[in-house]
Amino acid sequence: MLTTAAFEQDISVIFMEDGVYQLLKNQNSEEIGLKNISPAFPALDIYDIKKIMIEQSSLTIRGLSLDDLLFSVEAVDAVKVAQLMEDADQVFNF
Amino acid sequence: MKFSIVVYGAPYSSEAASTALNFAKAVLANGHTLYRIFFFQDGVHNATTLSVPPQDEQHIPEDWKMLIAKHGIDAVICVASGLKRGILDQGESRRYNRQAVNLSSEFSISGLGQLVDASLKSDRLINFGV
Repeated sequence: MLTTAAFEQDISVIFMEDGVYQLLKNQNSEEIGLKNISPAFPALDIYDIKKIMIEQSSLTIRGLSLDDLLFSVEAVDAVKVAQLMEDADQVFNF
Repeated sequence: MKFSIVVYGAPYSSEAASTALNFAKAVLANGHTLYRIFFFQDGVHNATTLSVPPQDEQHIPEDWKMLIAKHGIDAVICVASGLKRGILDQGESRRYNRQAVNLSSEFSISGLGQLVDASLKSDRLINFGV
């Protein structure tokens, strides 16, 4: 995301399926010896990546809500995800 | 048309790497150009010099080498993915004081910028193994 923004591209980011867990508040992975990357998310704003969305049903199925997230994001449905993919010149999945 | 290919899969762990190889050959055989092949995450394993597959099976890393050398393709492995997985060229091996160099000379090491550049400069970017 950051590299693409550095190339001054117009980016939209969608968190979906297990990806939604990345945006949870109060992450603490110290006990399992893994790097907590959630502090890096404010960098998205600094790089001007503002179009950040989360797929609604991915949240609901996991028993989560927008209130559980680190910062406010727009919730979108599957139809909107498909539309965003269609509108994009290039789609990357990670 | 100008194609770029991104390979995420390690050879033999799934069919991604060999399908990507077949696709690369088909792109060239059909008169199109290959702008870049970018090896990312587990895909960096395709660039090893140390693979010893069984004699009666396809030698995927070797096939990549031959294709890249024959057509002068720009084949890049991601530096972060390569370091983590121990696929090193001389520079990285020296820098981190490691015992060996195992990156095939047909490949170069670079960063994600090469992937973004490929997506901007190619007509089609095709991913294998995501």
